[in-house]
Amino acid sequence: MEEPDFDELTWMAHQGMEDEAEFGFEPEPDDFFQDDPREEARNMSDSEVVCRKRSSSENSVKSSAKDISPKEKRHRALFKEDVPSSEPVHSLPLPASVSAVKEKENIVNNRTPEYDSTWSKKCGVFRMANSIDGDYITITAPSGIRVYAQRKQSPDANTRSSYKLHSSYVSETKGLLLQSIEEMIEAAHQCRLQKMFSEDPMPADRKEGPEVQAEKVHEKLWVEKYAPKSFTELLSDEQTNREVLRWLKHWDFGVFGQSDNVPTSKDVLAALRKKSFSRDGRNFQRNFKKSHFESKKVSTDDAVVNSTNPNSVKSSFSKVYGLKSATEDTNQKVLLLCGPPGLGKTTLAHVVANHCGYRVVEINASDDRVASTLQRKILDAVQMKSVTGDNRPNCLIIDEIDGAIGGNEGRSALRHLIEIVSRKKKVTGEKSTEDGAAGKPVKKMKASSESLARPIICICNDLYAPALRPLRQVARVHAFSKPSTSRIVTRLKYICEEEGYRTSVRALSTLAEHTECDIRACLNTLQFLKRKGKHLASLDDESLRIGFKDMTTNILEIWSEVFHLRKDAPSRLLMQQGRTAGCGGGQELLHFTRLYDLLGNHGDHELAVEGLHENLLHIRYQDSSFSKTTECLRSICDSDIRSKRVISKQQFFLNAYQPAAPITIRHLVAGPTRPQLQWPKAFQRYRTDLAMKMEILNSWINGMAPAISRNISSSLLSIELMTPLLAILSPPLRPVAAQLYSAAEQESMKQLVDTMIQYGLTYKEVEANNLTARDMESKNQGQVDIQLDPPINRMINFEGYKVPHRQLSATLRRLLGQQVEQEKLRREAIGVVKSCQTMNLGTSSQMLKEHGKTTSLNRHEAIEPDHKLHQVASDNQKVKVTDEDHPEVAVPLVEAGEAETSSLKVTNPPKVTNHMSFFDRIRKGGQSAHQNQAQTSATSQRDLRPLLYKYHEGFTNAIRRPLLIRELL
Amino acid sequence: MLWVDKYRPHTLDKVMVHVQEAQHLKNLIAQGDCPHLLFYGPSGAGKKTLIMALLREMYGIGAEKVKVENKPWKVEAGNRKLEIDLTTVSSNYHVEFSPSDAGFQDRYVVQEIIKEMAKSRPLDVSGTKGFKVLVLNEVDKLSREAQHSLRRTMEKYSSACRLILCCNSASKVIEAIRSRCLNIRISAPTKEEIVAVMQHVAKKENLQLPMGLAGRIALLSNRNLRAALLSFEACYVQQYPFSENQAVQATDWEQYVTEIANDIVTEQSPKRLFQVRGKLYELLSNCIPPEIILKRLLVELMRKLDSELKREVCHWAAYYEHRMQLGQKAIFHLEAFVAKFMSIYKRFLIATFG
Repeated sequence: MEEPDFDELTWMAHQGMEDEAEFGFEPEPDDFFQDDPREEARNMSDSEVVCRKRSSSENSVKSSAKDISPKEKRHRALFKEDVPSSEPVHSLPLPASVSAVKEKENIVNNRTPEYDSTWSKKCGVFRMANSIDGDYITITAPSGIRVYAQRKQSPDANTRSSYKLHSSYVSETKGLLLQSIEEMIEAAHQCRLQKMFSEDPMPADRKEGPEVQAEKVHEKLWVEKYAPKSFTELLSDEQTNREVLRWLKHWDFGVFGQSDNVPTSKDVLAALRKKSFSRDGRNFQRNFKKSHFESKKVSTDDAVVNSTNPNSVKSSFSKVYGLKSATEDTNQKVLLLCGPPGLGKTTLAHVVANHCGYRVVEINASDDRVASTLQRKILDAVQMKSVTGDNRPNCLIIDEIDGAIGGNEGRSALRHLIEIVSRKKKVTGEKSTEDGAAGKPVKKMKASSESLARPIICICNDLYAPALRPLRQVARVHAFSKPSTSRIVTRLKYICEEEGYRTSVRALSTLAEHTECDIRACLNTLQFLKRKGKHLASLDDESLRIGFKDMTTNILEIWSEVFHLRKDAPSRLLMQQGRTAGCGGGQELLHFTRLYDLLGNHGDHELAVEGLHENLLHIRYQDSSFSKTTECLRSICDSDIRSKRVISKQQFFLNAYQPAAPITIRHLVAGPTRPQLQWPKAFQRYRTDLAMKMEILNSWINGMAPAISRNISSSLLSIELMTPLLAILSPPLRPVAAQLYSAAEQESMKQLVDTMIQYGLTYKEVEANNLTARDMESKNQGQVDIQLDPPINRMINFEGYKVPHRQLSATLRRLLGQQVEQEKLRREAIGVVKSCQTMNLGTSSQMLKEHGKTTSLNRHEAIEPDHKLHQVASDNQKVKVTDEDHPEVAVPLVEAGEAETSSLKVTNPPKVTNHMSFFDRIRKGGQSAHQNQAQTSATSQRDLRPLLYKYHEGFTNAIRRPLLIRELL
Repeated sequence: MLWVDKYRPHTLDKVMVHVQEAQHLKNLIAQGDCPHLLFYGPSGAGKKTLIMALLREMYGIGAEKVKVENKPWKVEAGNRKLEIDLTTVSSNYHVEFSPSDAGFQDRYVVQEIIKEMAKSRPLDVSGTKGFKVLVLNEVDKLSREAQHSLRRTMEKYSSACRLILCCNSASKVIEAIRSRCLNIRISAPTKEEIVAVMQHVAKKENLQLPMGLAGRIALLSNRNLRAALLSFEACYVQQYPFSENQAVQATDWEQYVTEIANDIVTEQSPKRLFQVRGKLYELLSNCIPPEIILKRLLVELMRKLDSELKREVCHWAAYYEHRMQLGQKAIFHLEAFVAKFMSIYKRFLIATFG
């Protein structure tokens, strides 16, 4: 429904219509029906109106025709029913004390279809008499429905604002309640609000007079209105501005210099600019302004310039040519401006481009960024010339380059851009031919390869967006820093004065800080506030929140936000307000929301908490009872538990509570000193360490004998086994040659070797540089060291912990390593034998006996792993070979037994000739080994084995035919 | 060969601890069949020894001829194909492995691989038993889903295979599985039993083991027979003949934890806490599980505490241990416990000494 007229409302306000109970119900409905133009809007039939007229004109209480049912339809039906009987069926007059609301509701029911059924309760009309306590009136509808209306005893204390109507007035105006009471209430509210708002701006508006009126019609955004139009007006960092300008100026030679085939005035001019630029920092702005002006109409002005600076021209001319090669060499054909939004990057680019006499061609995120489109656009921009009469060369500005380049197409677009850039530099000739048709308008420029080049400026917010990585390498990057607050404030002040808006410097600086020096946001806020009619000086914190910027912040800033209690202006302001308002939490609340937003925007809660954990203990804060630290760590644990739930149970709503931990920590430990923050590395380091150690353990356990590894899990290794095992592995052996050991020592050596093999350990030479620094400390010097392999002794090298174990001497380790290798080879061979034996356990002896010829063999219990098997060769060659042979040779040692104990007969290898050569080889090898071998310790062993042979596995010159050990046995 | 392995009993008749249980098991399989079994008990109590003796009892010496296999299993999970590396130890009659090795993919191991293994009849046709045995280690580390998918497998393929489950804590095995198994609790051997075993080993090795030393080794081993035998051998290697008061070395990480406890008690400050954090990281990265660190740390701290604080400290240790299970980064919780202890201890010091 429409809002009520303002006049009407004010009138009602004048009448002081507060008391609803005294509402008289003599209104003449026929009149006000007629008055109401909106009546026509309804689809009510005339007859209905007539019917109403009649019924009301007779002053029969309208309530008589009332149906309790709030539905309009039904109500209308009732009225229709009413038509034939012109006399109301029951003209029970309602006393004035009957709830006036009810009366009104009745009307409301007539007129507002949206009115719902709750009214009956509100106005005390019930279907059941017993649901009313106190007096009531019975009302019967024509349809026979009977309802009971409650009598109101006292003036209604209902808070719904109501209107008292003087009956006299009512009769005068004939028809008052054109709208439902609800509407009127709302209207009254709005009226009140409007008044409130209109109070303030009124004088300001009036002051400005007609100007304001005009502005109202088409008011420009201040951001546009006061956008810097010249270089001097730029608010961004001066250094950056100059750098950008300088970069663009580098193009001058290529663009302007060659555009006219004769390098005349423009080059001179460029040279001039260059010169003045480099010579005089203070002058340059003025000069640029001039040159900017000049570049548009060079031909007219260059004479003037020439005349003004005749001396400098020549020298700078040569400079230009010197510079030419430099421009060619530099591969920074693209300028990449980056920085948070609202600092004026786009503005800078535009201003500078205009300043240097370029026509700006902008491609922004709203444009299509498919690779082909972009490529076409870029090529157009860098090669074509506008036909609209604007003779200036193009300067391409690609705005918001990071925004849309997330997807695949964006990436390929960027790749194309880079391709264009790099190709421009190298294969320009090819390109000019390729684009020859398209480049018609710029034929003139195509005179040389450089003429194709046009500056491209890219603008992004996040320099480190992954998609931009390739661009970063080829582009010249300028990071925008925040302009100083004072600069912004000065500008804002100026604008405010222009607009006739009263502010204070302090409020403006607060605003600037809140928006992180985002000029655009500042201006928008100011304009908004002005329209709202508020003075910035009288800002309370609620309206200040408008100024907050929703931005993604570097995680480091979040951490420092947590630990560092900034004593800045807004917080002070708010603190005062908080005090005056009596609620001390103002500042806290502000920081709470700020931190909450920051964390929410950042999103990586785990990283945030990790960083807090890493840095927490380096923060200085007052904590005598250690309770704060405890509390902080507890909340970190909470956060950890939550993130586990988020991950494992997909309860992502818990992320909403993740900022709790940083906020708690901030509350507890934030201090005024700015902390030295560190990126959290410890956990990552721990993870990689753990993975490495687990790998060691796993490879170790895989290398163990199955009989042992099946009893052990990798976690047990580190907990229970490691220490005693390392102790067992380093017995107090004398570091002498193996031959010098006593029998007991040899026995223990044997045991040791056995244990090492069982546990898959050996000593190996390790390059010194492979060792970690920590290992180096404990190890003796020397390039090559002998270490356990797998390097399990690293597992107990805790930092700051002195390992109490005895470390075997280097010679012993070396010796052990060799022994282990030998023993391993021997066992491998035995393993082969053993497996053959076990396979043939039942049948082999029988089978072999059949083959039995000359060789007799004593087979000891082969299951015993240490056992050696010797064999007597058939040709009685007594070749004595010790088991110390070349490691690459598998040495099955078959112990030759005495003839009387021999139980098995083994076949001869079928080919005797092979056999011969086979043993010859062995003799040689054996002898050489013999020479190397220290005699003493080996003698006894050797004597036990009068004959040995060996074979090269896989070498057919040794054995020409596949030969199984079993055939030998 | 280490004594631990050398003197491991291979048959149910030869076991020295849990004789009763061994006898029961023997009777159980005397009938030729057995139900699914769930062995649970602390580490070093003899679960695996019993299981292996049981297998030997069932299948004879052939069950001891085992080979290790490490091969990738191809598993189809829904529409994607997974490859899971699994190390199995198997003989002709049985296969044993730890399904929890597959990490978060353990469900597929249970659903596919175990089912695959369970389906096939034993290869050895001459075997008297009509079923093969699957030994699953560390069942308590299996995820809930994996355990649930084990339920049906256990019933469905019971004609062809028996499962022997082995774990430390039965409470982490779901009820459904526990009810499908015969649960056998293998308690940690008592100190006396450990001493008896050590004396037995000493006799076999012809060594003189003083009772005092044996007692101390047994005490230090925390009723863990494996640890006791290992440190017994370590003692032997380091010094023989034994002396009554020979030093018995605690494991390195335990000594390191003792150092940490000393650090904590001597100074309570953020700086010290930071050092402690570094040491805790050091322990964690050397594959010491955080629960064990926390427990050990508590034991060490308890030694240095006034009795009135003990209850409170125990309470907080339990609190943080529980939260550690809920969370994922153990270091936070360990450190939080240390901080809590520091806070309690500092308060106590201030109250006592002013």
